[in-house]
Amino acid sequence: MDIVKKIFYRDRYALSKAISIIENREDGYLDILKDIYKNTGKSHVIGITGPPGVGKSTLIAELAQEFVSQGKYVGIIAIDPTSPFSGGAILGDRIRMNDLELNKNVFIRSMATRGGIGGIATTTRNIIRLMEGFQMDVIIVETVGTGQADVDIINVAETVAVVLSPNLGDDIQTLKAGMLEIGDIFIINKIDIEGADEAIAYLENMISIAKYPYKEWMPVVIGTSALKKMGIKELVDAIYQHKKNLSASKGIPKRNERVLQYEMEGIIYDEFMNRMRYMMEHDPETKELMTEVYNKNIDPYTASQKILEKVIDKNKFNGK
Amino acid sequence: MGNQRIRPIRVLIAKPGLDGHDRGAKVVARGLRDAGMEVIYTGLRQTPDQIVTVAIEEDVDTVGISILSGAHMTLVPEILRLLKERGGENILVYVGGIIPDSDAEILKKMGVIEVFGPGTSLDVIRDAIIKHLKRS
Repeated sequence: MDIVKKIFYRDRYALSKAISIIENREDGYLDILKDIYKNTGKSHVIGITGPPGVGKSTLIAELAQEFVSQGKYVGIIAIDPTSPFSGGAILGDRIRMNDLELNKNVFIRSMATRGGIGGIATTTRNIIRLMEGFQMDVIIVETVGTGQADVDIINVAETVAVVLSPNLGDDIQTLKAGMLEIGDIFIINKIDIEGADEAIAYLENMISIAKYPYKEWMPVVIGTSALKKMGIKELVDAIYQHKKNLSASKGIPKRNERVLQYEMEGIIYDEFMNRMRYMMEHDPETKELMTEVYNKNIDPYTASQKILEKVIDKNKFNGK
Repeated sequence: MGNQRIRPIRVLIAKPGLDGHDRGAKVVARGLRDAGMEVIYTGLRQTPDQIVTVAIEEDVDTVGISILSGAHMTLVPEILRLLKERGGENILVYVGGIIPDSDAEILKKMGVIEVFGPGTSLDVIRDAIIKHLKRS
């Protein structure tokens, strides 16, 4: 049985191997993605983002338990940053998810960003496809601990939840662009500590004066304590409600179009970058051109234009 | 076209059993990260079942077991057995901790690639992993 079929019949080992093939861009990765596409599109993809230390991983563990108790099969992609110096990474999100590890209806995979800069890896969208092909009911994507502007999660998830905790700042912080524009649901986690009421009030105030693209959905603020298992059911209800409301409107198709565009841009970008790097390093004509630029016989702008034409021209490109 | 992405080595650092001392595991995790590896660390008090489940899900190249409790002759063989049973027989297993030489020999006969005692330098661990992965 081929790997895509094995994944369709929920072979966890096959899924794990396929994720590596895609992540490493090993030979045949595109064939797997091409083949799996027909099996995708039925999962609810939920993005969980927010600054480091607010409790994203712990909250996801509770969220997944709740989904599983409702009979759902849950995939989790937990992303941590790659070191810009060594290329290595510590992937430590699973520490908070120990209780899920032996659950047969949960599949967790840790990913390093490997150069992705928007809070996810460049291959995250492809890995989501594999999990969709596995017929996951719910796929939860945990971004790296984000700053103010790591917002790529909106390009891969249908429902985005931004997790914050009390005492992260005053109401001016909540007015800023970036993180606080992308949430469909805002979560104040650790509501058992001081400052939770103020944090919720700041956020609700911010939402009340902002404009949102869909009249079917106004972002909601939910208080949770992952450690004390408070607010988890309310959160799950809000996630369902969000998808339901947007499905009834034009919201979901619009989002799916955006997700698709992002995915296709990624594929083209990858192929383009590979070709360009190959040309720069191996193509004699291109190397000669660069020497000419170095000797000031031609300017870098004209030379780049020539290289660009060669990269995209199938007849001229001989990298394969 | 040449493959432009190099595949980083993926390592699981695991602490099985009732053993709360994870400084060594963290130092090794950090050292392997600095050597360009992707290191999955799952925290304390893992069962062999959990460790093997994670190793398969994460498709790691190697598992480093850190163990200071003295229960290595029970826990390590169980991990090796479960790896074999679930298709992870190609995953290389290393052990670090307080292991008597005579036990280390037995563990290596069972399939452990190398046993690292206290004071082993990070370079030695890194080189051992790279060397054996190239061969396998």
